[in-house]
Amino acid sequence: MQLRTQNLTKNFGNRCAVDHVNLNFERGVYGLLGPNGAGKTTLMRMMVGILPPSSGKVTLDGVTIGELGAKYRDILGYMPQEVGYYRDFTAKRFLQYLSALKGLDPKYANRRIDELLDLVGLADGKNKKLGQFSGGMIRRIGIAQALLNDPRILILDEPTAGLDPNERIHFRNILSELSEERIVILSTHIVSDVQSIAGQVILLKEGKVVNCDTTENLRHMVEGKVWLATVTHGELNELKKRFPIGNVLQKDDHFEIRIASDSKPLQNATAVEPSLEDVFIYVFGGQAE
Amino acid sequence: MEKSSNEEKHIEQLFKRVNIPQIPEQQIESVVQMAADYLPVERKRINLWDIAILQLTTTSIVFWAACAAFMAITVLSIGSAKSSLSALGIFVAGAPVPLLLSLLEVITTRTPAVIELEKACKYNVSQLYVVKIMIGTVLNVALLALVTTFTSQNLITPLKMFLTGSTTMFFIGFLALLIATKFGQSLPVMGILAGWIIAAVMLFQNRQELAMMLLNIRLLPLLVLLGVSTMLFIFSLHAFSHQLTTLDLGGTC
Repeated sequence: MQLRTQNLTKNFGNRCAVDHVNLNFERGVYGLLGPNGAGKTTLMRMMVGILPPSSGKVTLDGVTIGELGAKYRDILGYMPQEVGYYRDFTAKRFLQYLSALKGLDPKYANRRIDELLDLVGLADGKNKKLGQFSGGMIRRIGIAQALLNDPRILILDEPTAGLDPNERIHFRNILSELSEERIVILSTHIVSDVQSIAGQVILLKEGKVVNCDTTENLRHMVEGKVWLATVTHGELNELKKRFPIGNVLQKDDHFEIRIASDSKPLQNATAVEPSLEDVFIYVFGGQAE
Repeated sequence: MEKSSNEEKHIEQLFKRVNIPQIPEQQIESVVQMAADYLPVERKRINLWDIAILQLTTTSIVFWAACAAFMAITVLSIGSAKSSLSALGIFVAGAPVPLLLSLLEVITTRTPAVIELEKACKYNVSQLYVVKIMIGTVLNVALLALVTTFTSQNLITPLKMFLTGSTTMFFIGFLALLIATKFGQSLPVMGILAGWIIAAVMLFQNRQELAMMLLNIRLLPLLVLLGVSTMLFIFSLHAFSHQLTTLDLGGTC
């Protein structure tokens, strides 16, 4: 199974949100990484088929998703950035509702709903109204609904936003298990989510693909370009104007900082082994989460 | 026995003559895997009624409370009406209020985030709007029947009132379905409903002779009108139920 975007472009008025994106997805987890406004959500919405592209196409094994129509939806699971819900629905009823809209057999759906509520840790709250759920619980319902039809292609937009650290680890483990036999594409601006599970990382900046490679190769890309230095408060402010700064750690009256720079930024700076977070800082020049 | 053995030998020799290409196990595996990838989980062909029942369950408590309030206010207003013309005016003007309420409910509960989730399923949003209108129309007629029952003592011809209200509702429902399938939005429909209420109020206040005509329509023509509007409504529902299985990917909102 091969999902491809070919010259996929989306313009909103004069602004180009996604600019001629060519990507190729096969089985595995793909992390779409980029700062806010990079075009991640727009790209995903076009891949799901709910936003028509300005130009270009999305194909599955050579056939456009428009031609595949409902057949594409049969094998697709999608979790949007903001999970919408009916406040008066219980968790189970909401999943039953979406199962019906996905055309699932009720018997299969009920069995699957119980499994999924258990998987996302909401088995106890299945008869509770969604209006009473916390943000994290709604995210988990969002994950469960995306898995209802046992999709071969799973597209998740910021799935871990609002989850606590334990929930995030649990979710990452679920995704790792799922990725064995399907295409999983998740967008995030949380580097650690991608680092731990994504086989391939796609760096998206201002609607364009900057790079698409394995975590290891991306780290190699910035080898010798990440520096650790100890600076004073005044020096830190000065450096912030000149270089993208990563982690800032306060130690007594000075700061230990990571700097992304092609050349040695300070005399006392030492080159360190880069992490994916450093890649993010190097490419996007901003603060990673 | 000997004959069949000879035949087998002959077939064996024929097979030996034909060069059957060896397909590597890996290739067979990949083909089987590809077929498995496309094999979706158990499916049920969903129909209009399944979707309608599901949509009915998405209705909020606030909506039911608003319907109950509508009923109570209408019954009280008709009960305290000074003339049968006023009672008829209240009945006809208020007839599409429940449908209007159901559409308002759609706008308030179906947030853009809910729409996005529903759009990613198999059925598009315009179809869901249409189902809501269908439910709203049927509910509306049921509420009118209840109002008629509770106010039968105050109305000169309760049956006529109910038939007039139902005819109106099925005709409005038909128009609403047409608009919703065309535009996939509930706002134009709400415009029609609001327009109806204003027009009815103005008619009963300023053109009482027209209102009297309405009051004096005989039962048979009224039944014919009801039949026509009901048929139009059912026809549009039938046409819509065929659309339900088609999916238009992208740009459905």
